[in-house]
Amino acid sequence: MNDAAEKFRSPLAAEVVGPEAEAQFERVWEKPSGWRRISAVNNSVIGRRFILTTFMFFLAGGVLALLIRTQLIVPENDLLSTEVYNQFFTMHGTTMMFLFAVPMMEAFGVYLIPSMIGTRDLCFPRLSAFGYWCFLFGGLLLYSSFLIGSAPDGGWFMYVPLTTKEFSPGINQDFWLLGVTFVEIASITGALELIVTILRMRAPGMSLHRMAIFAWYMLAVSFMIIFGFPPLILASILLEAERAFGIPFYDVTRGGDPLLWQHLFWIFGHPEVYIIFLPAAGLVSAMLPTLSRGPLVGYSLLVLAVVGTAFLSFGLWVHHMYATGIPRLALSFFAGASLAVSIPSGIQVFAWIATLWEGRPLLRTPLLFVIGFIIIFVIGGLTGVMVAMVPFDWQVHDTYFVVAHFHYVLIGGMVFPLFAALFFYLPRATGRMLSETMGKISFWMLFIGFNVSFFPMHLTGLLGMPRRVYTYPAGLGWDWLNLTSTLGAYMFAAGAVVFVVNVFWHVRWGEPAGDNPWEAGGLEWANPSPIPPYNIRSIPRVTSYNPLWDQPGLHDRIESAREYLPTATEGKREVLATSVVGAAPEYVLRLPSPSFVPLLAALATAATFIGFLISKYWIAAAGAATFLLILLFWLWEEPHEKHEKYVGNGLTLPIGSGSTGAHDWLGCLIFIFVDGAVFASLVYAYFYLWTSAAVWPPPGFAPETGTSAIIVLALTVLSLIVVGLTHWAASHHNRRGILLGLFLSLPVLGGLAYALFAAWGELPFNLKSHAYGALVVFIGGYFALHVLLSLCSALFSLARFFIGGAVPHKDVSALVFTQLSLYSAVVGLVAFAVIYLSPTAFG
Amino acid sequence: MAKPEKFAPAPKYGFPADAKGFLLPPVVWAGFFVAIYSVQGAGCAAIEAGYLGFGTLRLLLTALTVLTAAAILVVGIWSGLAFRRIRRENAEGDDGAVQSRFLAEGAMLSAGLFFVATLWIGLPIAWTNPCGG
Ligand code: HEM
Ligand SMILES: [Cu+2]
Repeated sequence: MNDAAEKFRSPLAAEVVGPEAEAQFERVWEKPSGWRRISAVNNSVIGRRFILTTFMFFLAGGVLALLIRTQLIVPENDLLSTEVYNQFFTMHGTTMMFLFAVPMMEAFGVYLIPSMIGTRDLCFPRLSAFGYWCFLFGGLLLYSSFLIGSAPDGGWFMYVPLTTKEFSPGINQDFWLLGVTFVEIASITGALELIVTILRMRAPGMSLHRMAIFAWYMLAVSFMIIFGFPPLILASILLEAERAFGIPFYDVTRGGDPLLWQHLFWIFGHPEVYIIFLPAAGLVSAMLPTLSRGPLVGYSLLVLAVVGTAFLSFGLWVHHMYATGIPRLALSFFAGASLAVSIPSGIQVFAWIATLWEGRPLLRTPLLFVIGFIIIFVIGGLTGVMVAMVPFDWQVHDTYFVVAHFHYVLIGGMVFPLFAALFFYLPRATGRMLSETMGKISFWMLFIGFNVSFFPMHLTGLLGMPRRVYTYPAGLGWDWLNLTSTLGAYMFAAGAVVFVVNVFWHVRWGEPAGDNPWEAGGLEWANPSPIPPYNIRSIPRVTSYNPLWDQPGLHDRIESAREYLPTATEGKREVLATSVVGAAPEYVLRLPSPSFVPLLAALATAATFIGFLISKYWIAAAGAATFLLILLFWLWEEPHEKHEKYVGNGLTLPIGSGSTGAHDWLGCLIFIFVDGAVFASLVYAYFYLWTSAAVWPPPGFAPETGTSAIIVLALTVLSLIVVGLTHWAASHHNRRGILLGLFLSLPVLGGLAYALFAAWGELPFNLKSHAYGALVVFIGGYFALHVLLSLCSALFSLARFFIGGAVPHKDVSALVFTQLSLYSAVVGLVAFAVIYLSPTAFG
Repeated sequence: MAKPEKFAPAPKYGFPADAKGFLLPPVVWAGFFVAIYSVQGAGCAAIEAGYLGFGTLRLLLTALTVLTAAAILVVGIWSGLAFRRIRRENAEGDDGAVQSRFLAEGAMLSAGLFFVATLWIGLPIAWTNPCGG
């Protein structure tokens, strides 16, 4: 081999496609170096960053946990004051749930999914980068509260009324509400692109029945995030509005209800538990066949379990509220669903055990962690069934029994699989193996430490020790149990330290991993480690669930660029878009190159959040406006220089797509799901407060169906017609029709915005006087906001066609407009019905 | 130039051996859950206001449960039959047929799960006072 070939990552490929083409391919996919690294958008870079950052937050949350446990080591301890203790457990819980568990699992998705499904990146790389920055800034915002000694202290679920202005006037809870909402943006953007990537970018032939199992898990989890996070975001917005501007939603004296927070929080909160657990289980299902040297048993059943859990977990929220005086029958619905959700968990456990049983397991460190996980998780599941029984829950509600239960589920269900996965996948990133000896030591310390720490908490709970108390009196039988728990926690922490040392050690001294060190069957190992930025050299046709095991020679064909898209001759990053079920190739999808736009957009977003936090609303407004401008720039793209290209293996495909179902159209659809879930939560709040109110609307509040209301309705219907026309034209790639529709929509939407404004002026009440009025204004305002959004979208699409040189069959902007404004009109009709019809419907 | 490879872009069979059939049982169940929770909430409010009797509410809730369970059962049996038929009619290796078979099997299994879930949720209606604490 000569020197020139030596420097290629894939010397084989250089022989096949030629050294120039190979050099160009590598240049196109190269990650930026030096300070420009912050402009990187590849999933492999962003994913690694994400994993590292979330791990730092894990350590921070762990330090808080150790301080908590140290305070509780002996009775009447005074290491921490009540205030500090409250801040610590709140920040511990919040960090673990929002800055560690969910983002860590999504980070794994970002990092692994593209290569598992045989593609080169996620479908919206700049969105991944944006999500990462939002996550980082949001986390820092949350932690900056410690600097001024006002960390949130309302517990990780922030129960109202404890967290209203009246009971906590400081800035503490505002840090939580804004910081967590900021971080959730990252969860949602990550979920959105995982969905579109999994549905549209799988390697040719990877139809749903042989899709990498982890992709099934992440697909389900992403949908859960899409529908589960909006209720919390809405609840936070409402609470922040009440705290900052005195607009009532939870205030009983003005028609609000604190229980509304609990409902919205747990509609999010229970799925959250599965949002954390499922991806971890998915990693187990992904690693287990390799670790046990055999096929994955019960693929269809696992898929069912995943999809089933995703749906059932939304039917559980009230089981956290058994003690709040809800009718017994309603409680039983939720108890029924809680029982049902244990079926899929059981299925998974059996599938894993069967996989181990059928194979010839290798007792390496990751497998130890997996077995530890199964044991702990089963115990956590059993105590979970106990807590799900209504009478038992009344006994142990808010005691350490519950603390023990959820740490069994969370640490067993997520941290152990995480360590397994880190051990298993780190070699892919670093090209070196971790030390087995240190790995085993860390496992036993973590496993024993964990049980020593948390098992006794079941007993402390049964003996009646409440959670969230900063200290306790001696002589109640709690002393030695707490001492044991604390010592166990130290051991657990020491185990984590050994793991971290191992990680540092392996980067320098670990054995080289080579290709596929675990001899795995999945496509994520079809490249040399450390993996190159493009994840996979050429995109293969897949005909089996374990392609590397069952398709002989595949590894070499991929490496030597004999499969699809072997070159990047036009200097563009390219992947294949494939059909949803059967994964047949449909078009070439071009991805953006490194860019600073995501970082700038995240900074603008940060300005908005900080403006709210310090009550300087002009900063918030300026941030939001800047964000919009950046967004327009972001979404603008140059037309492709040609319409189709040869992708290899005899196949020629169009470049890009302008039809419904194209990846960007799908991304917009998922965004509308998120938006719709926020709106549904708002409508839920309206009806919830209604059922708990004596009179609704309060006397003198019911708005009249006056002229402007009628005009709003008429214009909404008219906008539907215009949208219908535009949509017809856009689906037929008819340029004139599109332009006509877009132009017509401008006056209609503009008039609609104006009429809404007028209708607002006619409302017979003051925004701050009653929750009814507040909700009516918010629901109407939500519609107004979407009218303006549709208007922007129409203008954007016009600009695309007039100055952007867009052609209808390659540009989805008109279809995105119709999608958005159709949705907006639906919001309008629902809002109209809620505001003007429902108060009279029941008299 | 090589001949392009053949792909099966979508399942060979239609409903219920397709993505819609696969998703139907959970979607029906989700609708049921929202409905039963809302009907119970609104029903109790209506009883308090004197518009409705306990008997009617219980009947409504029971009807919802029975209808849902029946609908899911139908999808389950239908997809089970489709699954058997697809297995009988096709040799291994027909990718479109395998996709259908997988989705039919999934529909059948998920119908089973959500049938049980529906019953567990609905059964207590028989002996619990619909609005009592
Ligand atoms: C070193 C390991 C850990 C230890 C020793 C630990 C310890 C504790 C203790 C003692 C409490 C109860 C505080 C109180 O109620 O007064 C607590 C609360 C909590 N922990 Fe952990 N924990 C650990 C890891 C985790 C992890 C990994 C997660 C999540 C993935 C987690 C999530 C939570 C949550 C959500 C709460 C509730 C906070 C609240 O009441 O608002 N913990 N932890
Ligand atoms: Cu729960």
